[in-house]
Amino acid sequence: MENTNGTGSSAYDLNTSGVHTVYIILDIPVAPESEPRVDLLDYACVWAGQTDTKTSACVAILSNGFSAHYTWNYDCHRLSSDFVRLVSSLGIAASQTLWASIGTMTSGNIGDMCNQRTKSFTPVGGTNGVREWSWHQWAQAEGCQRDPSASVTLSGAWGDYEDNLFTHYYTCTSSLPFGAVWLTNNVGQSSGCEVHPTHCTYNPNPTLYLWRGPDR
Amino acid sequence: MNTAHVTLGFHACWLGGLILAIAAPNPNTAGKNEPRCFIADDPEVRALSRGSDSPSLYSKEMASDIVGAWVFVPSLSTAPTNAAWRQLTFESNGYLRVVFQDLTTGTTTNRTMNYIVVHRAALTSLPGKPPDLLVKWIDGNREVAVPLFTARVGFDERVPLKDGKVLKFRDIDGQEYFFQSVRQSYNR
Repeated sequence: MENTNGTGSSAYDLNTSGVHTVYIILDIPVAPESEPRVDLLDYACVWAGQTDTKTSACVAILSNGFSAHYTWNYDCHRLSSDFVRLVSSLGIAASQTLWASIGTMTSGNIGDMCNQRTKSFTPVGGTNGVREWSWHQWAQAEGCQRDPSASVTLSGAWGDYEDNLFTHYYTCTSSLPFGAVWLTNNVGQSSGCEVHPTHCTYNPNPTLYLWRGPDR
Repeated sequence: MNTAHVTLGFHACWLGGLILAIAAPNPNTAGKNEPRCFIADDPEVRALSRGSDSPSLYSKEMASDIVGAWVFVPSLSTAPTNAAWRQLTFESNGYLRVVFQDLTTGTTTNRTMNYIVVHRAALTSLPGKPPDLLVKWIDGNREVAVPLFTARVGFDERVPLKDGKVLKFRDIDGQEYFFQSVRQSYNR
């Protein structure tokens, strides 16, 4: 094999230089995986095999990878990070969103988001149902919201996915003593407990966690 | 699982070593308030201790991050809310200190045991599979063990990020035990 781009290693004779694996990807790998990692490419290239566009590769990573081989256990941050790492290794730019309560189930200031309630959904490796949690992290790539925790793709911005996923927010009505009620999620993010950073947290660049990998 | 187990449960195992009893195999007679313990030389318990040759990065991360002190959170556990394991302190040298609460009197007892992290993941196969734990101690002249499955350490969507990481595992009956870092538990 000749050195095709004029940089990097010297040419190798494939007949004498041992076993080689060639990974065919969609574009030059991008951050955070701009340096090729075989532990990612071994999965990404299999799950996104047979695809030839970045959009179809993202969908394939969700369906062939997350739906089939991951189990969500209230660890959206790890699955979201894994998605970003997988598609980045194929040359697809991706980012994340963190949407989080400021208050807790027992404390907060008046108007604060204290917990989140979802519509009924089926998490990867789990069963259908409504969930309540404090925060959620998901990804974006190729103009769509990609939530590996549920293997969902939704076109649009992060706020469209927020409107789609959440039905209610536990909103603080009094601080001392603490009181809160479940209020219906309003469309948009400019009213009530969705006003950030005053009453909740929106982070367009949350922590990227270490590679976890499939568990089943 | 078809194996002999200590019917009197974890509580009786250390508080009443002399009345330790071995029952006929019956996986359905779970202790009410704590993970069931087994005779450590049971073939199936020995089999549990066999892990992968080359643990994944995630599995090693779990083994490292479990070191520390954890307090039981009944509201987020599927285990009985009066479960007797109140606080666990995993040390890096393989010791596990447990604060156990007597459910009748309310008094607490401290006991030091050993634990082994059993890696279920490998670098090239299911790297995201969390490890299991095998907790062992000597009761009288007999070694007993409690197998704990899918031990995960990390953030949990149900707990605010500022409250830190949690520890979760399941007992052999599938009940999940949920612990929060003692360092952060004052926030709850």
